[in-house]
Amino acid sequence: MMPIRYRKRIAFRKEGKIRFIGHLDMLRTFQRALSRAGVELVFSQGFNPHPQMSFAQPLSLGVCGKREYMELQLAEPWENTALLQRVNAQLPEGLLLTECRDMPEGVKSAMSLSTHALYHIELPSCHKDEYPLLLENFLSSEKIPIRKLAKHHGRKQEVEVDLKPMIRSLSLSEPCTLQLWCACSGTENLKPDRMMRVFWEKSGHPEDAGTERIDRVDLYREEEGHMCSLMDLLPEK
Amino acid sequence: MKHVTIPDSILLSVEKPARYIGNEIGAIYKDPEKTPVRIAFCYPDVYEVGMSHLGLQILYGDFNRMDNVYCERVFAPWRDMEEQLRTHNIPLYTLETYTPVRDMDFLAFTLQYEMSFTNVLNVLDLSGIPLYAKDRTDRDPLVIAGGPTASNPEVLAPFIDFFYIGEGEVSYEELFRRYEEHKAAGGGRRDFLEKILDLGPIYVPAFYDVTYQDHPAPGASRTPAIRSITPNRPDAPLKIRKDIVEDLDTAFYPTRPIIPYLQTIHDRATMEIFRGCIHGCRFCQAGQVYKPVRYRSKEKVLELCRQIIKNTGYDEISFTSLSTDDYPWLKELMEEFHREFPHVSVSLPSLRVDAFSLELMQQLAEGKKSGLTFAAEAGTQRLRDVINKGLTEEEILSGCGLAFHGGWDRVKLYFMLGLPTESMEDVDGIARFAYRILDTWSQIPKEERSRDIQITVSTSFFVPKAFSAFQWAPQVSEEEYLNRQKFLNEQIRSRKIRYNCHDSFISTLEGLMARGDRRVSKLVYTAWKKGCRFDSWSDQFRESAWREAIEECDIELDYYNHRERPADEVFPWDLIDYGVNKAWLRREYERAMEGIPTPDCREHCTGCGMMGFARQGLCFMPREEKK
Ligand code: SF4
Repeated sequence: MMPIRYRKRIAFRKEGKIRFIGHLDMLRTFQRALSRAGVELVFSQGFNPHPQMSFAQPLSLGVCGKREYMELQLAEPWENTALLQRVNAQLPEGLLLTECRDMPEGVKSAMSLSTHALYHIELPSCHKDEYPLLLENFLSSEKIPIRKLAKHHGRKQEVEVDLKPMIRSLSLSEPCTLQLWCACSGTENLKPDRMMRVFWEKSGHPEDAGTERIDRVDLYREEEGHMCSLMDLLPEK
Repeated sequence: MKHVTIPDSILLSVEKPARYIGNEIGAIYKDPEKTPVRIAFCYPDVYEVGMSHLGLQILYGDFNRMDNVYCERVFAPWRDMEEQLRTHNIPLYTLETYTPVRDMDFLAFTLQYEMSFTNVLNVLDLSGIPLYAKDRTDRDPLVIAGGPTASNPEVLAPFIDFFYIGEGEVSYEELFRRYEEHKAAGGGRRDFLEKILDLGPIYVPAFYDVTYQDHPAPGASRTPAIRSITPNRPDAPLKIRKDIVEDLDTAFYPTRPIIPYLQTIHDRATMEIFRGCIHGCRFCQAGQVYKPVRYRSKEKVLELCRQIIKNTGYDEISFTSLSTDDYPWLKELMEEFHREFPHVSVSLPSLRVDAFSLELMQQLAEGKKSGLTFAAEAGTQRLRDVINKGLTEEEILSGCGLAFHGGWDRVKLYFMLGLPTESMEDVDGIARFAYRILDTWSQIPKEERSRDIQITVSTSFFVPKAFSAFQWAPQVSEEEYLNRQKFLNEQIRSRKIRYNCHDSFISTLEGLMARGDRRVSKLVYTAWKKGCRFDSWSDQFRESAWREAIEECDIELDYYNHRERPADEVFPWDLIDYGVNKAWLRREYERAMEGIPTPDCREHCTGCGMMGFARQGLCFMPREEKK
């Protein structure tokens, strides 16, 4: 028999120093915070039960998250604002739950819904005047190849991946800010820090790699050509 | 006061940046303007190792309980971070307020193993603090060292302003109070060192002179033994007496520990159930320096557990001590704990295997059969009598028999090679021991035991330590270590028995540090200069650099390691008083050579000298029985 469960989709921010905490470490941090807050999770059935908690798409180390997603299955009913308050009191500086909505029966998980992400990338002002041209050059290349480790023919090896098809749009929203819409799903996920490394190399400033500040603004599902934020897919309340 | 800012680009370029950011739950934030005494507490290894250490959590909590004190943390940065700090000229900083370590009042090291010594120097250097105490000025922090490895302080003596001997919960409060006064009055660092001599556990190396004999010691070709260690000022004590907590129930215990983000070695809550040990294993330093046994009452343990679980959210807790079995109320404690916290799992390190503990482990592991562990230490009963390890082969075999019936299928056995009086017969005994365990398993009918069995034999090399009964013993040479290892490897042929062994050169170095004197300090310095760091990490250990350094510093291993030390030799650590008499240790050494075991403290007090430290009655008894 399935235990009674209350599903919640929660949006949170990950900012400041805590950006440098890896995904698994963040997961453990949330688990302990929930436990201290007295929020009981439903455990999975089976040989090695684990608490029912999932995240949409992991953030790269150092990237700031403005609206990240976590989904919980609770063992007891919780009022959404009370839940936010109780858990927030237990979170370290830099992690903050901002919204919580109920997930009706049958709603798919954020992880499987997410198709795109919006990033803001702040560039150092020292090359301010060059950016329009650099961006044009960057986008005019046929391919944006990176090398990464992946399972290939059953073995882990370096493969080349072209980032170009994953970029939905990339533009300067301000003189020193790039706005990036890109693929972010279980099958296709562009890592903006990797893309930026190529950008700096192609721009002739490889030493500037890592000087940009990256924010993930939100995660979306593309439906009939429209981008809809994962939180807004759920009814309010 | 200046703060350090670490650019994102640096954090993004190093492995596990979470090591360098702080900000964990449980970390303490105070207004540094309101705390006149500021301490950087350093565990000289990488963050994850240091954060697993209970002593750090205890002193961090205890120091920060004091209103006038702010204690922050610093760890040894990994090589990648060191490189970044050096290229960008960033001084080493505290994790709480990012204050440069060199701007603190104290830098306090906890020494848990000898192979962390080069890290101590590296932390000093990265902080911009002169390495040698004599070169420091009043602008530099006072550098303290404590912990069990400070029991022989001499190898690090030139680098440390003062050592604190024994348990820190006792005298630091008064020491910091005096420092606050001293700071307000405005005196130099030497004045302050003079003002704390009467506290008892304080050893200021600069206040003592060491003289040497004028001929090489017997068994050495060129190194003379120590003639005397004498104070060079009248108020420096002749004995530095360790501090001990008398009553664990009223002692501070951290119920809001720092919860690291990174997965540490022990990713769970820790509850210390008692301190000290009643057994007198003759190779063991901890057993002597943590004497006497002091139990925390079951009620207090449960009360602390309640708070810790509530404050941390951990779902696993470890009950720690030097030998869990000796806790007088273990059974009741486990029962009451499970009743109150059915969802919190408990781990009990170093548990003896018998019917009771197997039943416990069944409950603890809940079907997950983790391996059984036995620290047999030696392969024959004769040698186990020599080392006074009161664990018989019959006990282990019957424990294994019970466990195999219960479905366990992995056994780990720990031994030491190179123990005093060890012969090849004893080494062979290790293999035979493992085979007898295999036989025990084979003889059980197939349907009553697990399908397969994996026995792992691990050997480390015996290293004589200060304050153990074997402090006089010769340490086996590297070559001989390897001989024995090879011989043992040849005796183990079954595919069901796996053999793991240790690096022999690291043990040689460890022995050199463990019983070295001030003359060995230049070796640590030279090795550090040659780039040695994280020497306890086998992938970081730079063997050739150490060998060169030994050569350059003309360190004679025959003197420090290989010879048996005469009964009347002055040891570098003779000033330090852990309460256990040298004469008693010597008697233990002689009994060892004759193969005579000594009863444990519960059976029979053999008058080690510790009684003088305990206020009342027998020093090992639980409180109720004390009366
Ligand atoms: S004085 Fe006696 S009981 Fe106390 S630690 Fe020493 S031997 Fe054990």
